[in-house]
Formats: sequence, structure tokens, C-alpha cells
Amino acid sequence: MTRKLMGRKLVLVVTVALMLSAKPTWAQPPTQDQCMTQLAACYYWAAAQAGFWSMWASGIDCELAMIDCIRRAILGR
Amino acid sequence: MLAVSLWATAAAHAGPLQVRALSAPNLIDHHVIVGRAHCRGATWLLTDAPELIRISVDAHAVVSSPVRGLGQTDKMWGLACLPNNELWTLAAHDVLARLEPDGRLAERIRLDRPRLGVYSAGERILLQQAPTAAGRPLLAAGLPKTLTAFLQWPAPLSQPTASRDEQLTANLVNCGIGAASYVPCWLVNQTRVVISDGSPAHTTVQEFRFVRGGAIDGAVPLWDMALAGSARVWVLASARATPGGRRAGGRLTRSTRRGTDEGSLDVIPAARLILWATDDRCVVLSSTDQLLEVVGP
Repeated sequence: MTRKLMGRKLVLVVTVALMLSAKPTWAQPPTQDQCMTQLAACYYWAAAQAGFWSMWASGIDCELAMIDCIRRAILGR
Repeated sequence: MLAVSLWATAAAHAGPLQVRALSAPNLIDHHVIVGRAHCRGATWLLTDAPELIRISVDAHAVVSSPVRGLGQTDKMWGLACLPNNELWTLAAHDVLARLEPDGRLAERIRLDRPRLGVYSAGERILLQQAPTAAGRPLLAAGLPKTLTAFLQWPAPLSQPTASRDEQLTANLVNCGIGAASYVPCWLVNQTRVVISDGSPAHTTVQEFRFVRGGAIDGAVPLWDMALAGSARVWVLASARATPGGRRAGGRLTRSTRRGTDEGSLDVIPAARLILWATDDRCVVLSSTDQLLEVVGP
């Protein structure tokens, strides 16, 4: 495994760890700030993808994850 | 004379609305409610447990069923009910799914693009589209099985924003409980409400100014709303969020569709959402998961 690939995997692991740490232990919606933190981490992961299309698709996934997080924060009852 | 005086004092301090409990607390569990739809005789709630919950209007009976048949990556959002009692949710951003009353996911329809929410609109469902540019309709209405025939809903329209992140967050729509084919929908950071049946000629935009009169959560001023008949609206303003606390609804106001305040009260404990409403009464689910009925004069 090359150093570059390992670096990407490390970024992904850190991103997932951040998302999991933001997940509440009971049914509490996330806060908007948590959603934005997740988005920033996710964009960082997307930027580390190889190739333009892969980066672009990963960026879209990040935005959809952010929308889901925001609507739970704002619209979740 | 003393009795009359006491009665007059009490009347002066009593609000025009009164509240009473219809059930004990903890009627449902405390998972986040991700969808609500009102059908004939019942209100359905979808939680992220995931569970489908039916609360009957007449007996206040609660039936909870775990949702079954979800895919590994599915994350449900929104709930709509058609007049034939079909329940539809977004199983994922690009998958519309039909739920059986027992919680079984019975049908999946692939969408042509990501959708952010689903609501009931009389005989149709409303799907929220991702904002692309300013001034475009954020909702479209149609039947689940004829997606290509969906028609743009007149409003709300997407707002201009400075960045992509802001574009996504500032253009989130919420819709309340409708009456006949009319539905109230609003941008979550605004108090301007669009009441429409999908026809531009039957679309009104109403500012409910009294919402800003109390202590509200400025990010989400309008918490929930229900149309009642052809003239009235029940408006639940947000309560100011406690640090680390869950957002909830605070002051409930009965209003005309033109925004005239007909009386209000602070719902205590705070309300999670409105379950159903008629001209003279509105039932909410409290933050202690109790049914509370607010009755007008």
C-alpha cells in the first residue's frame, strides 16, 4: 500500500470517526454546527479522492449528507 | 358583587384558549420524528427508530410498527399520505418508497434526481427539489407513479444566497397539515407562509407577524402549522432552544388565514408537533409525548 493511499484511508477514517462522535447516544438531532463540521471534514475527504469525477461525485455525496444532517437538526421533531 | 368581581378578574387573566391532556405521557418513544402525515381519521408519524406510528383521532389509540424492508444505506425522511391511505416516504434521496400500515416497505420508485422532502397535498404528494438557482420553485406535486408528470408548485421559491452551503440550508422547506387540497409551506427560517393548492390563482402568501411576538428560536421561527377548514390556521411558533436541548414548539395561536390572531397560549410542556386540528381545537404531541388538546372559545 503506497503512502498516498494510506494517507487517503487515514483521512476517511478520521472523517468517519468525526461523524460517529457527533452521533448522539440518544435520539437527539444533531446541531447545525455539527453538520457544518461534518461537511468540512467530508469535503476534505472528497478532495483527497483520485481523479476529477471521483472528487466531484464525493463532493455531491458530502452535500447530500450535509442536507440530511441539517434537516434532522432543523426539521426533526 | 364579590363573586362577579372575582369572575371578571379571572376572565381578564384567562387566555381565550384552554388546554387539557388527552393521554398520559410517554405515548410514543423519544426517537426523532422524521415524517408526519394526516390521513382520514388518523395521523401517522415516522421516526428514525425506524418506526411507523398511527395515532387515531377518535380513540387516541396508538399503534407502532417497526419499519421493515429497508436497504442498508436507506435513511428515511418525510411522510405523505394519499386519500387511498397509501403512505409514501423518501427511503433515500433518490428513492420514493411506499409503506404498508404495518411498517413493511412495499414498493420502491427510483427518482430522477435527489429530493429533500415529501409532504401530502390533497390527492397528490409534494416533493422538495434541491435548490439550483434563485427564484425557482422548490416543490413539485404529482402522483408517485407518474413522476414525469409532476408540476411545479407556485411557491416558495428558492432564495438567493452567497454560498453553496448557505443555498442548501436557507432553502429548506417545511409543510404543515393541509385542508382539502390546500397546504401551508414555508422556508424554515421565515414566517411567510405559502398556502396553495398548486394553482397560482389559488396561492396566497401570508406573513404571520404574531409569531415573532414571543420568545422564539430565530433560526426556525415557525415550528408547525395546520389548516383548519377554509378559514382558520393553527400556528405553532418555536420555543427558544435550551442549551444542548431539543428544539420544540412554544406558543400556539389560532389565526385566520389572513394572519389575524384569534388567541394563543404557551404550550407547556413544549410541543413536538401538531397532530391534527379542526376549527375549534388542535391536538399536539408534547415533548413528554403526551397528547394535549387546545380548545378555542
